[in-house]
Amino acid sequence: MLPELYYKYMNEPNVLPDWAYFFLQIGSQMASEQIQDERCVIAIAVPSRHFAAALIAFGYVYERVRGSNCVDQTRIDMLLNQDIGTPVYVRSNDGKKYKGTIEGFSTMMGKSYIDIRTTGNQVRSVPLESHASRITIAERDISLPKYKQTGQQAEIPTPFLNSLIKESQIIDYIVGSSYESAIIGNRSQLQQEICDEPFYVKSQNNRFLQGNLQEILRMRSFSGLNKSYKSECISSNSIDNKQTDISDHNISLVVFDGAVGFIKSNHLWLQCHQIVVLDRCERQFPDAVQLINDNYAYRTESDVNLKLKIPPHIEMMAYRELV
Amino acid sequence: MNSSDFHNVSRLYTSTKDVEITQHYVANAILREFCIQLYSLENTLGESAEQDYWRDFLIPLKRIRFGLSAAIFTTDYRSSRIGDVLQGSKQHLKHCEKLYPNEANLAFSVVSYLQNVYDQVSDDPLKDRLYQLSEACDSTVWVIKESRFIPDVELNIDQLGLENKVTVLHPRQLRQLKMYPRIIFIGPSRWFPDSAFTAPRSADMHLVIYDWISDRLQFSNVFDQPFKSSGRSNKTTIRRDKISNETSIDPEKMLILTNKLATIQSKISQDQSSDYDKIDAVSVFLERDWVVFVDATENAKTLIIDLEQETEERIQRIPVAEIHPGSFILVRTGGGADYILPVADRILGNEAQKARKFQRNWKQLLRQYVDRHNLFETSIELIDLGSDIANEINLRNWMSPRSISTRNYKDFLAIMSLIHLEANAEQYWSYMKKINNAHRRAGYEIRDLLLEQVRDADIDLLQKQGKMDFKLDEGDEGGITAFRVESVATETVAISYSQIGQPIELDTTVWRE
Repeated sequence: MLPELYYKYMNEPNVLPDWAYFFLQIGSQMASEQIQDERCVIAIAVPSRHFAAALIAFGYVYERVRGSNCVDQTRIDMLLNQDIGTPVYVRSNDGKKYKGTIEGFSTMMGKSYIDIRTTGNQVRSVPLESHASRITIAERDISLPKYKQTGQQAEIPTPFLNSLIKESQIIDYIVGSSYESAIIGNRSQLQQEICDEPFYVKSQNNRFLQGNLQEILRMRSFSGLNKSYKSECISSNSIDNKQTDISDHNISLVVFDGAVGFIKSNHLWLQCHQIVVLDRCERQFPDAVQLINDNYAYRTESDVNLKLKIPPHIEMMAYRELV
Repeated sequence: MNSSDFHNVSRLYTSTKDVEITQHYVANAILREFCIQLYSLENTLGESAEQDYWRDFLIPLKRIRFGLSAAIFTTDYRSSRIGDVLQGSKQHLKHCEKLYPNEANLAFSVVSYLQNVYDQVSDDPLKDRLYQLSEACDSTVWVIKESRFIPDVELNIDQLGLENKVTVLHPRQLRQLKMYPRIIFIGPSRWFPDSAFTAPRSADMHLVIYDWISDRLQFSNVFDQPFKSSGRSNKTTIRRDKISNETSIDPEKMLILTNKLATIQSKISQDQSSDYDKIDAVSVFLERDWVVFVDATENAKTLIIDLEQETEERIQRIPVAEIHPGSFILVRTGGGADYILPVADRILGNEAQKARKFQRNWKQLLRQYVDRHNLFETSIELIDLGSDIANEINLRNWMSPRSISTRNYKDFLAIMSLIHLEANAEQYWSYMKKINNAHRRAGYEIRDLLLEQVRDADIDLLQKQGKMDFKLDEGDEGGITAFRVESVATETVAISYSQIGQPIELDTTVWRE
């Protein structure tokens, strides 16, 4: 179930309006859609692109992570493919981040482990199934201390985040990394919407706790180096799949924020759900609509079951296609 | 963007749940007669309307018909403008009966009806209706099809005493995230983008149209199979005044004022330049009936402003095939057609004069050789002298002042050998490399300078006016002007390289520049 979010206008809190919940719900309902042989494609024509993609991704990531007890097999496979000596960061239960290098892989009582050297003479065996999301590959070489690491405090969850994520999941949430979704669009506009626009939740004692969409979305390029992430934002003008480590196998949802990115790169990420947000006012709106209608011809017979009340001046189309 | 943008987005959705669009048909019997008669003449002429005689006659009349339907003007301006056209038209028809006996009567009646319009020039029911709709509302926006009309409309607003109540906008300004209590479009719906009605910026919209212009306002879904909402969908109500059943004009046909391509061809055919001086170019039609020829040769790029891009990427250098309507093309105005050249020369500093002299010298000698031996033979000789890629197209390009030199030294050496400058080849090559570097640096510098100015520019004003001037250099005599692109021709034309980048006025009878 989606949280009740607020925004402020003239210092007065207002509950998020219906149109915003529409976008949150699209994301949230898509989170329960599995990708097996088919993926969902949703196209939405909107009177203004503002906040649409960000809210969709928020709803999706929130629902995915909140209900997530799933094993991230993609991440496990990625780690198993790393060479011995690969530098990594490991986040522990106390929220701290430790440097390490991969020493090897082992199996004990049917469970897989990754062995990580954290000091000159200490190797930890970390269970892959439960802790894969806590291990990230370091972007440069690491030098390990001889005897002991104190660890680096990664992040303290904000009151806003604490109110949205269950206590039992909060540590995993802030220390674990994965790619749940990607948004392709105008990066600077998206950054403002995701990082600069304040939103609020009401606490149990009726205080309004301020936060932003980034606290849930955790866009990697907005978070800074070596912070945990859940999503990525890619500029429409510089899409080059080779330059990112986001491939079909990493993410399960791509949101195209605008016609430009969609027209340029709709042939990428074919194995994940696709949501296309098209601003009726943008120049390439007719071209993108044409492309979507062309693609619709290749749909499968299965329906996309969404329970939604569509706001004014929004038109939507949803179908499935083979992956 | 600031935090109130979420609130503005909210307003957009909540305040346009139910939209009402009213079409107001305005009657003006005298103007109607003129417009319908002119329409009849065009239909009667058919393809003959493109002949010089009829084109020169029709264009000013069509401009009047369009202008009076798309905006309001002061009585003085209407009187002056219509009077000029009347005089010109009567003069033009002096020999019409002899030249075109079948069409003469119809042509004379058009002028006669225009005379009636002139005699009743102070009658302006369009203005009256606009006043009526705006006076009662605290804040109204008038949307005008063409930016060139906006200053006149604003003048009228001041004269009507509505300056505190009415704002004038260009249709592209409606893309912004701003809501208005009331929007009035002057002209039929098909003169404005679909998004003006499908992504409305007001719940109370009006179209004010003369009753001889047909206008079917209807909405259709954009997707082949729209998703069925579980709730009530939004409502858009269209109200109409009583519609006349008499002859009406297709509004799209009123927009085709001139056959621009035919006019271009006519101008090009007057060009006496030698074939060697010509390059392939594409005609880019700008607002206010201007055209600029853009280099369409391989690898050629042109500078544009695209306001839909991220701020730091608004200035782009793109191939001509990617120029699109709505973007702003940057054109040198005054001080020579090439805006790179003066900046590059400044970068070259003391060496500029000598470098350019060397550049002109070898190109001139090459050209003289080609004049004596023709392109084909010259390219063969260059291949014999060691060039890998000499052919007629490349040779033409090397001779052109728009190119600096060859890409590879091997080809350059072949040219130097051909024109007996082999002994100085390295010295010439060194200067060409300096020019090349200077041009490249100039390109970056210009882009950065423009980016800074565009960042600080009033983008709203740029959208409204459709053009804006920029300054490159303190000492630069000319400047750069951004013109909004209206359309881009699909065919290329061969024109003199000296015309590349020079904005040309298509028609001097244009109604307000």
